[in-house]
Amino acid sequence: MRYDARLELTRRQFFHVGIGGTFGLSLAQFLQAEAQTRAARKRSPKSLIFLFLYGGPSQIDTWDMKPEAPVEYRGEFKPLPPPIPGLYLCEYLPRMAAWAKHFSVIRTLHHSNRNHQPAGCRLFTGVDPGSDNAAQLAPKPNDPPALGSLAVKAAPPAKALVPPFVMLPARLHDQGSAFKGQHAGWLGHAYDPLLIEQDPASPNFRVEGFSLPANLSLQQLEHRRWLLEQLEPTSASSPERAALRQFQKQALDLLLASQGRAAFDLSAEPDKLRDRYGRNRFGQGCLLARRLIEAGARVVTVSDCTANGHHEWDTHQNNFKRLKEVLLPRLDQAFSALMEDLHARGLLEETVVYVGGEFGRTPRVGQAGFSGAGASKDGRDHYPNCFPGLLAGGYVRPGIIYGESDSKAAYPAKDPVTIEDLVATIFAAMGLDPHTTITSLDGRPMPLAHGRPITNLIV
Amino acid sequence: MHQEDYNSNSPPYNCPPNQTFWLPAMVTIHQHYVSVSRPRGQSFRWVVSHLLMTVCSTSLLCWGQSPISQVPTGTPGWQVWPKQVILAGPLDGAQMQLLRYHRGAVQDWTRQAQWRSQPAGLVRLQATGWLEPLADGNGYIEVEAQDFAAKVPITVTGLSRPPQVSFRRQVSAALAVGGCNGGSCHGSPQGKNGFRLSLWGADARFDYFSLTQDLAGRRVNAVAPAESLVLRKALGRMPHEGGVRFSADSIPARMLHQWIASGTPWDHDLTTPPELRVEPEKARLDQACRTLQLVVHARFPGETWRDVTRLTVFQPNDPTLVRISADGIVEFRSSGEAAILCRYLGATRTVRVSYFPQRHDFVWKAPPENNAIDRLVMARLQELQILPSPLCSDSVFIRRVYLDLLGRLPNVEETRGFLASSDPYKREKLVDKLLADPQFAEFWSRKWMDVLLANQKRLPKDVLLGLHRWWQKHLHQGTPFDEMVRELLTAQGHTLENPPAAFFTIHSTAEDAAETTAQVFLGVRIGCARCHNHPFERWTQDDYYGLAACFARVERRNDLQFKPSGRRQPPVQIISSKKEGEVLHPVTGRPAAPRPLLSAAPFPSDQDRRVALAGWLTAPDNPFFARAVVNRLWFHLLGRGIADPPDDLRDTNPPSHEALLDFLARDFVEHGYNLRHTIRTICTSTTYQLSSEPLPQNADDTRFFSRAWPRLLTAEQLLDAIGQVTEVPETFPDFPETRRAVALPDSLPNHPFLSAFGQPPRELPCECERPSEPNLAQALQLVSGSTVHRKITAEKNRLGRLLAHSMSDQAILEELFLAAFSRRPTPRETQLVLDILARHAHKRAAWDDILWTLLNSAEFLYRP
Repeated sequence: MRYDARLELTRRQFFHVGIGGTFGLSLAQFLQAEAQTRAARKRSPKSLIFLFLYGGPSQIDTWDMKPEAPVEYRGEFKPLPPPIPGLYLCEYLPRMAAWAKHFSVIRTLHHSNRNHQPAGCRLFTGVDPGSDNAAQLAPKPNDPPALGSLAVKAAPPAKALVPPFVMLPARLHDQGSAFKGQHAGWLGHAYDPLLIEQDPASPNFRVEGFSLPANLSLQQLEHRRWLLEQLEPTSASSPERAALRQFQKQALDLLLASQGRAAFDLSAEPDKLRDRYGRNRFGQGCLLARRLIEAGARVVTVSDCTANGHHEWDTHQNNFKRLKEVLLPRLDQAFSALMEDLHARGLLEETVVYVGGEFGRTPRVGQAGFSGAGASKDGRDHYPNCFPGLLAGGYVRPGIIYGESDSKAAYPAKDPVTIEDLVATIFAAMGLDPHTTITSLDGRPMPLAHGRPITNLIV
Repeated sequence: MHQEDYNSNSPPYNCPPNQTFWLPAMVTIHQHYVSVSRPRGQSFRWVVSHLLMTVCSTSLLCWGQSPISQVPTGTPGWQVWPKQVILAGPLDGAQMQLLRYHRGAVQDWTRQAQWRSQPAGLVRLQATGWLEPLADGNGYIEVEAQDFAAKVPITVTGLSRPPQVSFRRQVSAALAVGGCNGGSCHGSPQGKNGFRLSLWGADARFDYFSLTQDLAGRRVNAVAPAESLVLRKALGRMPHEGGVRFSADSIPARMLHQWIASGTPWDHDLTTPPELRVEPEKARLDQACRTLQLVVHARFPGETWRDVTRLTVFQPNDPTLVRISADGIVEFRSSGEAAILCRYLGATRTVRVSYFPQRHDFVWKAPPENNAIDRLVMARLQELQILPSPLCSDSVFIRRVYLDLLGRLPNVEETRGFLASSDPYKREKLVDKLLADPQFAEFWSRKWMDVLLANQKRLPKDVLLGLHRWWQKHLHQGTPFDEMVRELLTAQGHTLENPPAAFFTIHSTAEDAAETTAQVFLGVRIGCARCHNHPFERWTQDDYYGLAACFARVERRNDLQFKPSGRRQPPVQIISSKKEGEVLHPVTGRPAAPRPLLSAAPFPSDQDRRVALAGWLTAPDNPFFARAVVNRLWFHLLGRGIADPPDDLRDTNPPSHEALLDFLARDFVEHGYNLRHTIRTICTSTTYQLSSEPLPQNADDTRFFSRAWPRLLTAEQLLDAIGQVTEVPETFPDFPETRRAVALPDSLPNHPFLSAFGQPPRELPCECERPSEPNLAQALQLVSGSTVHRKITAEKNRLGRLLAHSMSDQAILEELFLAAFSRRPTPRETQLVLDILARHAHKRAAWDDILWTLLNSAEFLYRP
């Protein structure tokens, strides 16, 4: 189950190294490395915070700037001085740049889904939904499971004071319809995420079930727990009946023990830290994610989306204005705060952080034709042919810029990466073997991920 | 026809009761004589049998074509297999087998026996009974074990000719044996690391080109075959993610090697899959022997039987129970029953092997039998040496039968009356009473609506309500089930006027209609065959598209009078049959002929396709329909199908009680497809009425119905039950206040309680949509969720009413227990509660805690 991808070498890589490299591995070394991949597959599993920039951020205006490209491509923004050689980050991401040595960027993600629903579904599950039709994309019980559900199945958290997989702050929609990829699908409801459909920045933020009803005191609940033990000791039940009782115990522990309940209580954080993350839905969501990971969650997905789960980053119009006034500063603040916080608590080693959207945006400003919504003269349309993703923490090898896009960030020029490979890489970064076989609801054996991990990105 | 012979010549032996069902309807001369080969000295009998055998050898090998259920466990005595060996060519080989049948069990002597060839030097014989040719000629294989000896004639030919390897027969099979073309390896749609094969070798031509042409032919090297990429990878001579697949001297490796050395020939015109026979097809092992050699033969049309044991893929249904070597030796790790799928090219055969060591100190003890069900279940338990639990108490029975038949708990008065009655037939009478209750139809129509995908996303609300009423009406009237299904599958007209026509609004394509029909009414999951032949089963794309073709001529017209109100409102439709319309078979690209499952003959072309299908499906001799229906009824009542999952009947998923399933199906047909009759038969059986308390002698049993398995109430049952106990029933918008959750026409996706407890969304025609595993969200609903909390604390709930009547604490407690658990409290429970009440200043709060505890206890949450 545990997995070490750093030693998984392909024959192609071997030839590549052997022919082009000045330090080619000998065949013996290669075979030795192969053997080690089998021997060294025991790694402790890590958690994941998945920051989803819903709507699709522009690659050329964020982490893959092309200062040499014509102005109609490169747009209004300027890059910061590269924090590491070759990395051109947008001038509105200065605090992110300060953490560049701690993360890696993949610049050559690509797929063929031009709309939010199929692209989002593909990113969330690592499986091409094979359809653009909203009805086909509505959630169904035999859907491919969300990454978090798969990770929890492959590596159930050891201590769980909170549900192991949490998604917030809304169920994601496009044009009013929720799409698949946000539930456990064929893994069954037991692996569904806890979905928090609330604004964590709101003073009224309160997660149903994780706080007591108004007229029920802790003392009374404690009494009930005692009474249940008296009236029906677990040992007396048959094995079939013990399963739910385990969860009842867990629920009572969660409600009665301060840690579990407190994980959802953002007011326990110092005001200064809350300010540091940004007093908005996304910023406070990132802070909540950190608290949940601390309390034992395996995967937390935080989407930068509207209150009703629609896209924030879908800049068909006003691309530059939206980015520089709202989106980039908000991301810059929240991401850097999260990195800082995780790092300070020693959690970054235990937690993989992924940041990205479901696709990029058209390289040329005003270039339309990829979605029904098109692009106005200061906007960019959907664009799945080339876009970046950012990985940090866990077993991620930091400071790598993987893959290269062409001069206009229109197509991968070197080392293209599919979504299937990205998902396999995320699992590998968590220390999970992406080839692990899991059996679906209807008895079909399926791999955790369908792609291959990028070995260069894994420690 | 040889039944008499068989009996008169067989030595008497005790056939265990269940195995009498396996007595062969047809036993050939051949099998009879040779299988009871005589010990040395009785040479006359042997000569007779030998002569007979030689005369009949070709035709005699054919008896294995009879269906599996006809295969005998084996006649007592020794049995050598095969009866004749023909080896053709240097690469041929054959597996010998020597079995001894004793007291209904089989002992495998293959590897203990002495095998010799006569003349010596004709073949090379391994101690495992595997033989390979050495020289052309005729002779015998002699075998000896204990007091038994026999000779099998053998012919070796073709050694002077160059070895010939066929791509289909051997190479494709070798790739399957190596697992190379499996779904998680090169058989996946993307292939693996650039090498792609068709799944399970379904497309030989594709695989041929993939091996020989792809990558500029680098995978094979005719000049130096051993250096071929495909061999070096599979033999582990170079890094291979899939590891070592064969050893160099294995048959599959040698076949691959020789095929490459011969210049990778392609064989033409080999499209029909072979017939397959496996010996034995059913066997029971006991403590004498936990291993069994399987022998597989295949025959292509117009050819002779050939040994393919080492080119066969063996897949057990439970790999933790048995291990199967590449040589076809089954080995049990613990006691149990296994179905082993044997697959060679497109042909499959499932053998069933069980291993039950007998304990000598076992003492059988069982409650009295009520009907045929008990006779069959108890016989099986006795054979397996599992003790049934005793009968359940009246409290458990009334609770169980109310929940199972009406979907609700019995109320306090009903329980009091039943417990007080001394009528010896009160359980039967209660079953009859409940079956006549309108709530029975209300509750059971929901089960069918669930798997027929009747949801508001697919149907307009009024059509959905109409369909719900249609089910309730017919279930209440007791309409024969075959009639209902015929009406459903052939329905025409306006969906508001003829609700069953809505089946074709729900299923907007022929494929969808076929998949649901197969799964719900035939118990067959055929969905896999939409894209590829079923990997473990005999279902093929021909079956899938043949069934889909039956629904190809359904016309759906929207009734525009009923304008959809919302953007996503589904249409009201008019369903009719049209004269044309086809479903294209994806492989041939031609229209698929409408035909029944597993049949080569299409339906007559002059008949309406749906009428033909419905007629075949509901015919008394249909092999699937009645079994699927009674199995589903059993599943709903006992919590587990006789074949389980209940909608996945296939050879590799055999029923735990074949004879029981046969009996129930036959009984169902004989009683006019009357659902109530079968439900009544099941509910009045002792088997249904067993306690759920395990005994040491049945604690491990999860398959044979030696006790009841408690299961969580369904989402709707639980919501109703909490409403009933608290007297604060849940109300639903647009429905009268008395409407129970179990009687709603559709699921309520946004109801937090119902969602947490797994109310099915009705998107899959599968019972698996209702989850059986509990989860944290459910626990939170029960412990602190607002639905439960509001009902417990409501001022005017049951507690409020009882306290207002100033009843004694003891009387209140008794009523709460009767309402929640259908029993009275024990003295210990009473004392505990009275103590708590005495300690508490605030009485109502104390009662709230007690009520919460009852609702959170397993006794309440589980159907006992």
